[in-house]
Amino acid sequence: MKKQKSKNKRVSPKKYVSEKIKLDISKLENDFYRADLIFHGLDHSGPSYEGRVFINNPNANSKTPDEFGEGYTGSFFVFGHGGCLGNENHCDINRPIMRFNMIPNPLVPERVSLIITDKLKELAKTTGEYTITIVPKLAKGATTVVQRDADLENVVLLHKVSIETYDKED
Amino acid sequence: MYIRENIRNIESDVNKITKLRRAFSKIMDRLDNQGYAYIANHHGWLDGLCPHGPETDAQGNIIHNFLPWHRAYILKLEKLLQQVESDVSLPWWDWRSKRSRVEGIPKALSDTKTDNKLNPLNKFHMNIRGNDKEGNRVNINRDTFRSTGDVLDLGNRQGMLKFNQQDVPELYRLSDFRQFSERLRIGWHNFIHVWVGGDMSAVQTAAYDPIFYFHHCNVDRIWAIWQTIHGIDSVPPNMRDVILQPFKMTVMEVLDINSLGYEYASSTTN
Repeated sequence: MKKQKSKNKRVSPKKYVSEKIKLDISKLENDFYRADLIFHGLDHSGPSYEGRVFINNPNANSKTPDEFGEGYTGSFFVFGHGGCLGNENHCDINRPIMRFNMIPNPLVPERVSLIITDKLKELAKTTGEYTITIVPKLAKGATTVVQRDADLENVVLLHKVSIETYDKED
Repeated sequence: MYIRENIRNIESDVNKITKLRRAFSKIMDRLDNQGYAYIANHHGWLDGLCPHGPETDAQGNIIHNFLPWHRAYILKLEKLLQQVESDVSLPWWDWRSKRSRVEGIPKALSDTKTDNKLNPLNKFHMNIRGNDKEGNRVNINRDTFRSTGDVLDLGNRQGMLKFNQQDVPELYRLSDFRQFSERLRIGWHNFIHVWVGGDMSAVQTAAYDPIFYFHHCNVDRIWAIWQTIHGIDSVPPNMRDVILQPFKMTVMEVLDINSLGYEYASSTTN
């Protein structure tokens, strides 16, 4: 976990812009009835925030409205731990589970998803490449309650983004 | 058997709301293991025991303890309330009701004062001095606070959760406990923590704010309704014997709310 020396209460969190995801839906064997945008390995050790998600609008920012025409396709909400109060490595997710109480580490990154069926079908008429932008909006008051070490700039930390389509009911 | 009610109904009943406030006040004054701070520490800074995501058991299997753990947790708080006021129960705050979309947080929880006294359902003075479980020094001395979002967002974001199949009616249609639990947690549960803001927005401080327990009572109510549709014991077999620390109860032991001694009132107020 990245350490900061002091709280910076006026920091604007940075947005996340993915690499281009290539998906030519005309080459899918079957038409799909649903498509999900999946965020893998989402970190929740820092402040809480709403992740506003835009497709093919890498210029989206905190002032971009939540409108379909702007590429907005929904939000996810991260209930963050608020940083670590302990010493270096206290919240290292790779630390071993304690032998006697087997309490799992609560900071294991998670997987969240958004349904993007309509948006994907509309965009697929003109492109086979998709860029995902996440504009984080911190929970009000989050900067006051987080610990000193919490990184308030880089709140959107994840392993990868993928698109999954479904051609039949599970 | 006692009944948990909607806070909107309780707040208009002077006798009930007075008893509930008195019970919270009494346990907030206690500094021992029968006190509010002791309970809040389970979730928060000093103990940090709450599960907020899929975890693995000793055999490496995925388990979803979020709902069972919080059921045992708010029950423990409720038992302490009942020790000091025998006929109180923990009410729920229905954040998706029409009234919440207009008024936001119920007045019973948002009024700072009542009868010229501080409202114990509005905030709690954290005075935490000690070491966390790994021996690190903790020293916090302040009131909890909220920085609530725009009340319109309660409605706007409900629409978005519905679109994403995370609103409550969509959740009731899910027969798989793991999907139900995860969508409830990531959707409405997380959204309310973010929307209420302030201390509620951090796992480590959320449970010191009294609104936490009314929020989680509603989460528990939604699970209880889901259980009436899909079966009381509809959890994966590998979860049933998992021990919910520090409550000394297994998942199996918290599945039936009637066996725990309570049920939810069936009528709600919009």
